[in-house]
Amino acid sequence: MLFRGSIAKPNLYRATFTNSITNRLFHTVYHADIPILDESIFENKILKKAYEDHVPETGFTEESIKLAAKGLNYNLDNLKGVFNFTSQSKDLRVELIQYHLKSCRLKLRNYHNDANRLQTETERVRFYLEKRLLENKPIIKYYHQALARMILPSNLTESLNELHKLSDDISFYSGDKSNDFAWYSKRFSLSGVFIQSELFMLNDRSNNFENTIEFMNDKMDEVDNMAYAYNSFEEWAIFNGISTVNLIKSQLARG
Amino acid sequence: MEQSKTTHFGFKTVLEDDKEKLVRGVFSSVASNYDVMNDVMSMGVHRLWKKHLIEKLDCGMRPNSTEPLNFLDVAGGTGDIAFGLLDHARLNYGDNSSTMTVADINPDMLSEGAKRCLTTPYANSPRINFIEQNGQTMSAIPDNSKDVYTIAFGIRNFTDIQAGLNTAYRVLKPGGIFACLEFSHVDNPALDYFYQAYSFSLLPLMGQLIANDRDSYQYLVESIRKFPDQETFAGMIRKAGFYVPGKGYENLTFGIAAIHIGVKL
Repeated sequence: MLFRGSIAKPNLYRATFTNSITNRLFHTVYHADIPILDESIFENKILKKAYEDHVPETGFTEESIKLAAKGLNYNLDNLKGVFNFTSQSKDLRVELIQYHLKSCRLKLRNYHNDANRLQTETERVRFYLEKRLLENKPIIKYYHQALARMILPSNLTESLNELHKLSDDISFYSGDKSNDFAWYSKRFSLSGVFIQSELFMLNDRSNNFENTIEFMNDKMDEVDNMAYAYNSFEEWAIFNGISTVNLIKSQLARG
Repeated sequence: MEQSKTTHFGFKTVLEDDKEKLVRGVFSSVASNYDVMNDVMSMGVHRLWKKHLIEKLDCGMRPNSTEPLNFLDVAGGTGDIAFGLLDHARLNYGDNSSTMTVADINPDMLSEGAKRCLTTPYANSPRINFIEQNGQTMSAIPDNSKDVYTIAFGIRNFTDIQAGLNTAYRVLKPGGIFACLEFSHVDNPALDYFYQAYSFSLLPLMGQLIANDRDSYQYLVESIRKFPDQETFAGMIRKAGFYVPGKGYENLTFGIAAIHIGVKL
């Protein structure tokens, strides 16, 4: 209702159905969910095995992918080219990191029932953020490698894109109905909270990352307060703006 | 009455049995100055395309691997791709044990390649061998024996392209990769207009002036036009049984040429 699904611009030469759904940058209740990760395809099978079986021991390295390929009876000595064709980065490590980001984002869809029991939007946002942060648990030992690689200039666009998609997903799942500038500021502040919490998490030694969750909640409180302050200021500014216009109008009418 | 099957030879329609002979004639007549002509016609760009293909495939036995790779370069008469792949593996990964088989239907092209091989580090080495083979059948190559199958600017000369792809699938090991570099179709109509004008008016003329062989180059141009477009060809690769990653092809220089790949899962 809020986000009308815009009709995808038809491709003059080859319009394909998949293009129109994968290129959409926002959520809409009128269309199926945007596919995040197709685990049935060959490259993702290798990445999945690497991520699940080898990253916890060998980190986000080519070695992990090599071992995974070997485990599936493939050899990267001749199949590396396949990744060069399908990935933007041409770097296997970045592919592995992207797999991590996408598969974690995909898992958020399993929590809808639990989240819907919560009353307010901010509670649901916090719930999803907590779930998403805890997805980092198995690989947290090597997550600094991943973050370092994500912020390299050549990979930054892809990583920021994925970060936006995460905060967009979380906002949408939590029932965000804003259709004004708040749409942007919500996603922006959510991304900020998420990144800060991830950085905090790298050095968090507490049981089950309780401190990270607490940190995230504190940051979310700040965002909520800021939002309250911003909304109050907006209301005040609009009220005064309109009064000023009316005052001028009335003075002019008196002649 | 049984009707003989026909196929196209450039824009002419010929009997299937005759095409092989005709193609052989074309390449026998261009073999000796094949490279010069390629350079002139594509203004040197074919070298960049080949280099791009080799780098993109990035094949080679990695330092801590145990099994050397078995390459097969089909229609690779002059050996550009074959030497390039071996060089890439040697220079980047110190691979000095993978082997290369160069197959071509045309003995004249093969002897060009063998001659050029003498100037490379692979001269007289058991790592590279040249065999005369029909790419559609590959009778001398056993099933499931190769890791990498490459074919550059060759597959459009096959009488039956699908049979060639099926054979590629047969000779590759499971986990092997098929890569094809071939002229394709320009997707921008305006650019295509100029490309067609160039290829139909200038190329045969250059063939006549430089190689004194207008007909062969007329054939090359026509056969490019007759070759299926990117999507269709990717479909044919799928039909042969390959897994085609992503959209299955990469256009080079607006689609004048395209790289197609497939994986035998």
